[in-house]
Amino acid sequence: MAFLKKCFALFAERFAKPPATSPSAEIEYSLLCRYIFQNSHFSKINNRVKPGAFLPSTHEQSVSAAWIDGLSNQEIWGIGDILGALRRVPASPRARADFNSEVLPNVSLTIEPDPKPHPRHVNLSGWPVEKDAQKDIAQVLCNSSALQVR
Amino acid sequence: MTAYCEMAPPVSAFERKVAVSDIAEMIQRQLNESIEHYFAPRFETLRSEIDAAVEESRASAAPVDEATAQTAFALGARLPRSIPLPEVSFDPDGEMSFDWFGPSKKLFSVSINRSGRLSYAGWFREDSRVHGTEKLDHGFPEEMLRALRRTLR
Repeated sequence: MAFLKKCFALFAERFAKPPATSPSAEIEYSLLCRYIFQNSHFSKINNRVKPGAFLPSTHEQSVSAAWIDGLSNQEIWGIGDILGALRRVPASPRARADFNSEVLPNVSLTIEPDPKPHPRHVNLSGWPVEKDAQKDIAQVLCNSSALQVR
Repeated sequence: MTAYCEMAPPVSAFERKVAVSDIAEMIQRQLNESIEHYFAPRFETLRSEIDAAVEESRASAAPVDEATAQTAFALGARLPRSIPLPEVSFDPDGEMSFDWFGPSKKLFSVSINRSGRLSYAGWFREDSRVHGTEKLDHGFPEEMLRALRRTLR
């Protein structure tokens, strides 16, 4: 009887979980990447990301990024190619900056889901208007990132 | 006793015209030519880096314009000889950016716009950062120079 109760509990737990097929509120993601499309936005000599890679554009005041938890390197670059094809001048990413989302509250940035170009795409919002304050945040993100060159 | 006198940025020599006689003018002209010759390789490298960044910016929504590039060159020319040239890039808003990387993740960056507004930020430690704005004037801004030296130590 105890054995049957254990089996029943196992089956109940197994079928209660939703399938993890796409990002959802139930799934906790923590790793983000910022795709870099210009060679001058990362330093090959120093193997580091430059602040310009993280600065928001004048019009949007947000920065594009993507969740990369559980993805292979190839899959991560694949998302970058999809997002790069949607740029004003289509391009493939030359590099990317991988970082943990836990750094964002420290610089008062928020994550806004934007699944239209890709289910894992997000915008980092809450940037200050002042350029020097933006650069300060960008530098924190630079130093929290690991540069991956394609 | 010896004292170290850092080579003054050449721009100040070009800008100050105090010669009042023919001989004084000739001396000043020769001094400027000597300084220009001494700094020529450094200026050529700086110009080349700026031109490369301008070219790369052409694909962006806000390319760097000629006035911004000239102002950036003017800032770079004011760097003391003891400071290495920066890595040059551009920002999404069309400004030019100079970046220096130091040991222990230290980082200093300044963005320049066409009117000479300088927006800078420095990261020295997790609990030690600076940022602010300056205006490009005759020399390299002292506050920025202090932060830059701290980055490179």
